[in-house]
Amino acid sequence: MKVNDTWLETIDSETIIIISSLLISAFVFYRSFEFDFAASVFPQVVSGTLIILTMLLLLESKLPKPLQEIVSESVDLTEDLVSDEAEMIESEVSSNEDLDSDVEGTTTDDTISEKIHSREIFGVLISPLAFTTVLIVVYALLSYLIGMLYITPMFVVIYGYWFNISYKSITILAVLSTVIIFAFTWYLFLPLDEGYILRELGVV
Amino acid sequence: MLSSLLEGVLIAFSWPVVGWMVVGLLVGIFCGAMPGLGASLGMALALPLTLPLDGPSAIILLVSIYSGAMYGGSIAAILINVPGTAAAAATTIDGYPMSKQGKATNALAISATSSALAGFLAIIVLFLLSPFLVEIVLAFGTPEYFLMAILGLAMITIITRGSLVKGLAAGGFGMLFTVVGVAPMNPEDRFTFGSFLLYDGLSYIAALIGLFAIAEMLKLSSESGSISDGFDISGSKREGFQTAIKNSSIIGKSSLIGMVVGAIPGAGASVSTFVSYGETMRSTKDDSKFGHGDERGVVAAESANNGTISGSLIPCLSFGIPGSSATAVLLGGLIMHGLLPGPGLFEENLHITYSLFTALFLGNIIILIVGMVLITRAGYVTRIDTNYLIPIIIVLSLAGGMALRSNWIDVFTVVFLGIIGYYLKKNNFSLIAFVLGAVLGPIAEENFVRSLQLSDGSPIIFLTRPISLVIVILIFVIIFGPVVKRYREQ
Repeated sequence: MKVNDTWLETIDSETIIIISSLLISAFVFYRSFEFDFAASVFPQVVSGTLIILTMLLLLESKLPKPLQEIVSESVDLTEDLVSDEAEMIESEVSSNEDLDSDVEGTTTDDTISEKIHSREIFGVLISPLAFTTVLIVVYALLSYLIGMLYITPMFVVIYGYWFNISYKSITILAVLSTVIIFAFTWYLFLPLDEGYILRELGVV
Repeated sequence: MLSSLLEGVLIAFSWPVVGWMVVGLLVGIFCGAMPGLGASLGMALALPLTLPLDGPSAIILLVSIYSGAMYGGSIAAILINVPGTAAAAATTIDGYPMSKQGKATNALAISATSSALAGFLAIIVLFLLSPFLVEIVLAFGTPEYFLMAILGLAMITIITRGSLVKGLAAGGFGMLFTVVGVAPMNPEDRFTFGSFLLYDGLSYIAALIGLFAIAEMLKLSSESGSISDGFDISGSKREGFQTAIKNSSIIGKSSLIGMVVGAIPGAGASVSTFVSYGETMRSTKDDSKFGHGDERGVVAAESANNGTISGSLIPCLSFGIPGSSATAVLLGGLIMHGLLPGPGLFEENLHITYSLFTALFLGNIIILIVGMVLITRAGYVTRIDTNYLIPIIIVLSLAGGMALRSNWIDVFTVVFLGIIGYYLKKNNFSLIAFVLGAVLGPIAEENFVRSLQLSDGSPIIFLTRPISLVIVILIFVIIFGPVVKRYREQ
């Protein structure tokens, strides 16, 4: 049991990403030999490189120290561009922002928000992140099966209910989102008013 | 060239292009002012909607969103100390203290004026540089374009300050994303598992929407709430305008700094604004007020971030290397509308390139007008609860995915890459590197395979021409330079 616990503790989202990348690139590398040269050489080079890179990340702790430093440490070419004073101020400002993504966090206390919007379902505490993730996946699946036009208002109502949005605002958001989907259906001639099941049943 | 310039100007002034420009600027200002949204998200959501538009209208709409967001980011930075975009981070240093001193209107007027004037200057420089760019771009051949894609990936990986291996892996994963479907140089389908839905491959636009919209909404959903309880906007527009004009030398210098730094792939406005801010501090005799509401700080930061737009267009249009996540989306839009970066944009499509520059030029006038007129209403944007925006953006993202090719694979790509993108970002994998890999994958493959075909499979072709040799050396310096530097320091 203890061995399993220790093993499980090492499996985090980063490890899952790296292992998934390794498996996908190994698969691409293996299967690419079935194609002609012009179709296979690029996937082989990219997947081969990716296998090496993901192996380095996966085995980071077991690498010799110099190699480990290269793999783990950040490199920054801009350190000579930004003056010391500006860099000092930048580090203060960037404490609540993500410079890589062009997108900032809010000033709201994240922990408080997590607690307010977490709910217990069948004894399991569901965080807002987990709820939103599952809701988006279900929304996409049901849209495919039934039709995005019909599922969208339900998605907005469930989202609004979970995040304690007032009924008046939920109604406005649901109407607005339905209008958006209707506009897409009408303006771009998209089959958002039909789904796989409805088509199979001959309803649409 | 003059006829292309004239044609470009006429396109930018024609209807409905002007209308799309205004719409783009307003959407951009809104996205920029809303912390959590930003230029890349606004542009990614707009991408599928540009499908029915002609190339110039679509690209001008996208670049106007970009330009508007760069200015809009300063609104939240000045009023509530939360930069709407990373580009506005330096604006908070003096902008917010000015608001606390009752000079919020001054700061917003300085921001609008500096942004507009710096944008003007940078575009003029870009116009003047374009004949030289044409010469450089035309000197590049097939091997060089493949190598430039690799160089761009290497630079972005390093400049975004993360682990080099993680950055390269993210870029490689992005490229791997593009090997699904029919190969570009051989009519052979790859990794489709017999499904006709995968025959045309996975859409990089769907990937962009997922990575920039869904991933951000997942992040915001766990931290959402009202951004601000409100802020009294006081001060004088006129004083702010005059202050900016008085500091025109700072505007000029910062605009050029923004342009130069912006032209370095991956550096972007988040770097250029701090470089410019630091330079303004260094060159000022009395720098004691900086950080406590010095108007020159706002002028420097806002001038640099709008100058960056023009700079970032140089590698994007010339070599297809985006300088930031927003230009990565712009690049996606260019390719989606059949406007391939490189010689094409400087030869047969030169008029479109000039129409883009003219639109940016005009956009600065609109930014100035909108900025000055709407200052007293600016605070409303920052008070919108993000919980209201999240479901709408998710709906727009999924419908946008479907709009690309009426293919449900694109909708699931949006969702899947949204979730993957959230965890990639959480674990410090560069999203920009992934996007660059996904956008440049087909171009890189085409040039790579064509080069090898020209040389009968010998990779020596990448070293035989002087330009390609220089690029290879640059790639090695960029990848191994920081490692060697560290060991020399030790």
